[in-house]
Amino acid sequence: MSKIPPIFYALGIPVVVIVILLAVVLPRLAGGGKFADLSAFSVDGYRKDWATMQGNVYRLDCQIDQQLSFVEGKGRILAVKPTDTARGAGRISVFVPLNGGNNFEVGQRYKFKVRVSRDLLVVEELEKF
Amino acid sequence: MLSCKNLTVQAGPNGPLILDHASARFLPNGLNAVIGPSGCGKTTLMKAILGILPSTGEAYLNEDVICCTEDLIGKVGFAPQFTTAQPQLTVKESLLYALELAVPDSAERNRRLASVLDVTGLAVHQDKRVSSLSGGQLRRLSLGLELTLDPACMVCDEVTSGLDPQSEDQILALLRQLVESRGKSFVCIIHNLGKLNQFDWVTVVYQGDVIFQGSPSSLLTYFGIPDGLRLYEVLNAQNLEYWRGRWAIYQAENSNDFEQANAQVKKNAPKNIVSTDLTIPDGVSQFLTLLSRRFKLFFRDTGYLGLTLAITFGFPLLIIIFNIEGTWDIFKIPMDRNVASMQDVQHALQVQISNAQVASLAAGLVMFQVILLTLMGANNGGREISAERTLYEKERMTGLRPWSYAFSKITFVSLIAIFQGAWMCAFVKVICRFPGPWSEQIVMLAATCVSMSIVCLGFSAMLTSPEKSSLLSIYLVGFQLPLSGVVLALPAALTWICRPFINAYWGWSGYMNSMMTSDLYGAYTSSLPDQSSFIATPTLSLVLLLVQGLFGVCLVVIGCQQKRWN
Repeated sequence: MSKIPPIFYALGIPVVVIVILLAVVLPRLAGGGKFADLSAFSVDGYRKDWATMQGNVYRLDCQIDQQLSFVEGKGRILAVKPTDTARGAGRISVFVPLNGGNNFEVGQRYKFKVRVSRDLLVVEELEKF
Repeated sequence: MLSCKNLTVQAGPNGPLILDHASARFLPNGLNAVIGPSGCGKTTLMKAILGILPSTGEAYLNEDVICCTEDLIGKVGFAPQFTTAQPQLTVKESLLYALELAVPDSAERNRRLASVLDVTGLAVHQDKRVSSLSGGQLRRLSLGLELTLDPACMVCDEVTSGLDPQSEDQILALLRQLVESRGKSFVCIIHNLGKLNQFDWVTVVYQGDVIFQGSPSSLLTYFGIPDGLRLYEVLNAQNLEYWRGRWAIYQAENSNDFEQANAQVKKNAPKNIVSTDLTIPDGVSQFLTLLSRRFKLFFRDTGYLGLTLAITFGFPLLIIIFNIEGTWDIFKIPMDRNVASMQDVQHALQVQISNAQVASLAAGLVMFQVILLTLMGANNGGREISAERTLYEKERMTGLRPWSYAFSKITFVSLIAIFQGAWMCAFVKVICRFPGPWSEQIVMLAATCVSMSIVCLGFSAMLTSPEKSSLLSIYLVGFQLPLSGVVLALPAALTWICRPFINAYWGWSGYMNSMMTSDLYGAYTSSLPDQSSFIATPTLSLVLLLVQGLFGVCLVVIGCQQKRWN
């Protein structure tokens, strides 16, 4: 029969759970959510020399400002404002292919996974926040 | 039988000595009296022997050293001056619950219940509420509760104080009957010196030391008094050193006094006393007994029940008055507006202002719900353990496991909190028509109330005074709104230092985020001055609330593990 007093289980289990939860939660809090492993998109860098960024994938946290164009069966081009202005402010345009299920409204905030294509930022994945 | 050697108790690390190297031994199978002027250390002596108070020196039960109160379970009972029985229970229920916590076998419980009711003379009062008993009946109940475990020895703290002479005689007669018929031993702290001749062995405590032990007749001779009533007059005429010196000489000259008195009581002691089985019920059984008792008390205590119901059903009413029509008029800004047109810009600005006002109302009402739930949580847990600490400590002496008690309290407050959170969510959601999934929102609000209830329960386990623990709980609720940073922006450096500890922030955040697919959420986020502001997902919020709740669980378990006599 175990000689370990029940108090050790009663205290030990919550403590272990707390440590595990903090180990999982804190990195998420400190990071950027779903696309935390991607580099943050630099608006200034893109405007200065987009060609050197071509083919790269970034995380862009932004707010919808306007729909610039909608092409049936293809997708839409949105003007968005980065929510984190440390790497540049102002509007930039992104292309969102039609992937269904997303109703965009002015003012909504999204985390985008964007690929820098020729003259265009293409949204590959997105998450509202 | 109980005895002690050089027992010393100090009030705090640098405080005065309340008990100073006291040595005593008590008579088995007899009635022992402990007397002395008020504040001399009688109760301290007995509590130190029983391990209730921390002390240096040695205390023994028969030949075994007493290390802690757990060593005395089933062997020594302690009846405090005032009964610890719950006033809302009947006499029979009080005894039955005490038996269920201490005796695993139901047939044995029934036998002991009948026996205790019979011997204490409480059979005719068994269906009366404890709150309606007289002083004498309460003392009988105190003794009865101790007898449920059938200990060989019982320590009674001022068991006859405050009683009329007839009731006092009846209690002493009851003790004598238990000594003679069941071979019990009693150590009674008493004040009435006129009753000393009813005892077999008298211990005199003076200024923190034992300065005499002997039969009532030898006490009169030793102090040169015609009756016990003159004792304190003689005692106060000399200082402690004088009485210590005299007692040392007397002991050397009369070393066989104790053996003579012991032989005398043994002659009258009953033969063939069957020792009681000391097995106690398992922890789960004790947990279920405590939970059942708590719910019975919850429904019997009309004051507490009324308050809980009033806040459970009244607080949601406070919220719906701000949006009883349940309309959230969010207007959309055209996606393809012309940003170069002044008219379009002005329209967009007006829509944004209107939407921001509606969204601000929604966010405020969500925060209001959460704050009221934290207040309910403070009410659920703030006094739960501290208000009945003495009863808990008493029941520990009869074998109650701290973790059974701790988890019965956690379960009780959690069940109440779940109901409160679910009702708040359902009522407000139906009337105010908050968008978003039911399940996530019910879970968020219930978790908010549960975690706050458990943290406040932790305060009540860590503090002895119910006033202090409920005050601390209310302070905690008071800090929720300002330190959440939702209504008033906190300095950036403080925001993430405070928020992990703020229950209301996570409840609010998770609830707001659950409305993400609605226009209300979009309107709220676009109205934020800092667009990168973080609103946690329901999952993350739930995890943080769980962490806070687990912190509360730790406080409860640690607090229940410690000994905190009032």
